Amino acid sequence: MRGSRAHSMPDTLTLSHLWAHYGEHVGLRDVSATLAGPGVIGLLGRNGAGKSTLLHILAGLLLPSSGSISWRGEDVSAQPSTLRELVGFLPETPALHDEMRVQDFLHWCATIRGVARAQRAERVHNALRTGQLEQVAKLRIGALSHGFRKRVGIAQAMVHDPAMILLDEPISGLDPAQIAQMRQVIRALGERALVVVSSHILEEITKTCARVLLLEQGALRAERAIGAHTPGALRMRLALVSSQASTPELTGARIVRAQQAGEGKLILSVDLDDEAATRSLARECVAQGFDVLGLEAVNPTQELEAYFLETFGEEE
Amino acid sequence: MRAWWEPIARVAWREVSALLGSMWGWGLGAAILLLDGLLFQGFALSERARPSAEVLSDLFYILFGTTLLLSVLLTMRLFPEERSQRTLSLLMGAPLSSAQIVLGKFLGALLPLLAITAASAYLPAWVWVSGKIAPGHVGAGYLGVALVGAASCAVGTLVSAQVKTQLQAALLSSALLVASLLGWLLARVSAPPFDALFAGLSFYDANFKGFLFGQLHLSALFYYTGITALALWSATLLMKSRRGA
Repeated sequence: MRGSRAHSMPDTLTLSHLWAHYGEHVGLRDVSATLAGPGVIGLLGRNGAGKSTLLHILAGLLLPSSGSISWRGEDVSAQPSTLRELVGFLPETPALHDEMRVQDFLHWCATIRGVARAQRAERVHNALRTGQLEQVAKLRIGALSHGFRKRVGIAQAMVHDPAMILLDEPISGLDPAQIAQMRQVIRALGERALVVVSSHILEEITKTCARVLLLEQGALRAERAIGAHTPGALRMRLALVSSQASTPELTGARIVRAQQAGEGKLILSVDLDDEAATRSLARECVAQGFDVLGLEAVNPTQELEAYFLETFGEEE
Repeated sequence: MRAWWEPIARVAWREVSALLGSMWGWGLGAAILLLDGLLFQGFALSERARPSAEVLSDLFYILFGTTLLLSVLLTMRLFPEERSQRTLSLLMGAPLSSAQIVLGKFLGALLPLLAITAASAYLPAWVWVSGKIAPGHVGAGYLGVALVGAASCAVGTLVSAQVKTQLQAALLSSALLVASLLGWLLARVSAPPFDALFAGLSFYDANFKGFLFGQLHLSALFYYTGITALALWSATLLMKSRRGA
């Protein structure tokens, strides 16, 4: 299968000048972006921003009006079937056949997605395990709770081992315990595939995604690294003053954003792998000739919320 | 190498199993068989003694009508139900060709239709018990009914793939099938050569009448397989234009 991760090329999806017109409605306006996997990338925007339209195009369910989609450097826009082989898709309302048992349904999905007969049992087993569905494998889908239905939806999206998994509002309607489980599942998927998560819930994006694309009225307005999305990681904001124009070299920390604030003031957002790295952070800055004005932990959700409002403005 | 037919079989199998697991499926089968029996009792059987071949002809005439009805009721669900249940993306987003999806859905309606039609075999058996029938007559009659069923299921599949609701599918399929039957009436009131033209295009008349009497005409075989292929090909092309493959 073309989407197999055994492929030597990097998993990179390139969108070039994508437009989607449906009658008089414009679903997407000139969207260009490069998404690299494995990892989890968020699509953030208000309702009607074009998130679902973009996911449906990537899933091969809608055809773009113009523009191209390339996977690993190969243009697949003219070959929707190739795109469909690459992708697993969970719509906002999971597409499930209620009369089937979970295991049978996953077998059925594996078959229609071209998984070889010899590999089907193993793929179904893996999907059940990743979706934490072993206990309900023999139950009818119609008898499952909303949370389990979402997980069956994810399992069907990954049963053919796609290189790209698209999740449209994966946590909508879940209770807190189910949300925590779903995050684990999404993170596990992101270790193996390029996962694109659409959501309008900022917290969800910050807790699962490494990067986010902000859409508004069908157009891509901004792209931003989130960082600190892994458990145990920490995002810090560091205010420094220095006469030098450069940024400090930091060990055990990644600078995700550097912003000049005038009069030699520099605001850095850094991701630390653990809390212990905080202690050496200020020392390293001072050693390199920077004066430390302040150091504070950042709540990624609040940070993204501020950025979201700054980019889009308050909703009227 | 991936077997081209396997996803078709799985799509069809899901349709059939969904029907078998529903009250609708069993109820529909029972209702059609009941209707076959009642019509057979009311129209084919009579107080006076009749030749068995004549009774058989009446039976296949009845099966012709109930098969058309059954095909409409089976195919109206194919796509609209998936749309209403929001499950169509499973098929449309799968790396299947449009032809595979259309064929799978078509077989998903045709196989139950053939099974229900086959279950009416107790009626010719009844005639056989009380009279004398030629197996060839029964075989040709059922072949004709199966061909009509395939053609009408193909038309129903074409319609079902284009509309949003089951009601729309049922009404439009019925309208198309009734229009195709009208050729029979038009042939009666038209002058040559149009009478032959209308009769030749009709679902009934020139194309089905031979089967009533146990005759197999190649022209009828080509007509019904042609209608089937044309309708499925049209459904595939229309789907391909929307999903690009």
